[in-house]
Amino acid sequence: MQNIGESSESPKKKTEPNDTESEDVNYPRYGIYTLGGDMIKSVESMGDGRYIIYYSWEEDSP
Amino acid sequence: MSEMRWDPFLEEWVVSSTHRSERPLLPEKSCPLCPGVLEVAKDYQIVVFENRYPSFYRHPPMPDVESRGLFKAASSQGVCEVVLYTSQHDLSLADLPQGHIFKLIEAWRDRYCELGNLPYVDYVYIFENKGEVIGVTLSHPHGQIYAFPFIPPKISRELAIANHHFARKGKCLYCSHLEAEIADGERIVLENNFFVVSVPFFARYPYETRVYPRRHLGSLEEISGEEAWGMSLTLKELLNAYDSLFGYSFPYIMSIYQSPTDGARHEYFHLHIDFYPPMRAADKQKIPAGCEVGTGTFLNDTAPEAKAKELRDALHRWREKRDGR
Repeated sequence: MQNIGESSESPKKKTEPNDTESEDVNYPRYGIYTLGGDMIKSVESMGDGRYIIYYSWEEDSP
Repeated sequence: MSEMRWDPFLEEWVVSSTHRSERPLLPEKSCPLCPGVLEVAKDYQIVVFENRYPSFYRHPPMPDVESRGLFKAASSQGVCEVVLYTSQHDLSLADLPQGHIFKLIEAWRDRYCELGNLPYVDYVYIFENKGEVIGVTLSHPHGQIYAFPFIPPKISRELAIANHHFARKGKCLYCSHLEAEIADGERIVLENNFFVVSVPFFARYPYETRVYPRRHLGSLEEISGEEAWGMSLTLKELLNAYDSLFGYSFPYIMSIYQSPTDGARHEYFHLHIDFYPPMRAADKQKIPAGCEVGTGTFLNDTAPEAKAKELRDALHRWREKRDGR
């Protein structure tokens, strides 16, 4: 995960509509992650095939 | 049915999603975006989830029709997300504290990076439709993200022109536009150390505005902490200028334009945010009609310079109220 103020080069393969290999089987990546500062990202399942992401932080920041 | 159909005349995709007609209208009793009602089980600060009624799917069905001759169809692979700005139903983006908007920018940035890295996503479009006149079906403060499997046509055309300008002049077209607006000055609405807002010289809507970072950034991925803080202040002030204009929560479409994520280099592209409010007066709408829809040519019956002054005055009123003067 990157934070604000950081950047990365992420070259990726060009795909076309109906490209059967254009999947990312690891997406979404469920779990808890730390973003910039004290921001927490929690990726969960909604139970119906969809995902939900909670972004949370201490209220008196930044 | 959910699929993309090719328009061979304009050479662009049309996305057909028949299930989207099942979306609820503004609910009278309970909001499905409030905590514990339908979509979000618990209280939250900012939440992003996959749209129940998407136009694009991570695992799309095959098209209902077979491609044949002129009639070309493709599966609609992509991602559609809903971004809930806050759990508080009666607020808007303008009402949120600047620190909360800063966190929202960080969430937008995270979504841009993550969705843009998916192999089938060529363009990540973050936007908000606000107000019933825009056709919003849920009033809870929220925006959306469409992760497209192609670069949408309006953006594609703009990219080609910006690329050509960059190749010819060795300079970013957007940086040149920003410098020209600052030099003219008449259409500037607000500016700070990091961002500038103007009613563009070529505005299509009376109260249209464009927000530029002063630095040449392609996307939120490149934004610094200071710039993100400046962006949160810029959005806070601009949206409150809109709300102060006629004394009600102003409707708009907000479009965040960032560099494509198709794997190619787009160093000539410059992040910008456009607001397209559908009003031409307090009680009169600007509805794209025969000329706009039929020909693509917009008719603006106002002067951008006059509208920029109205917005500056509205911002001044809001700042005075904020500062207790």
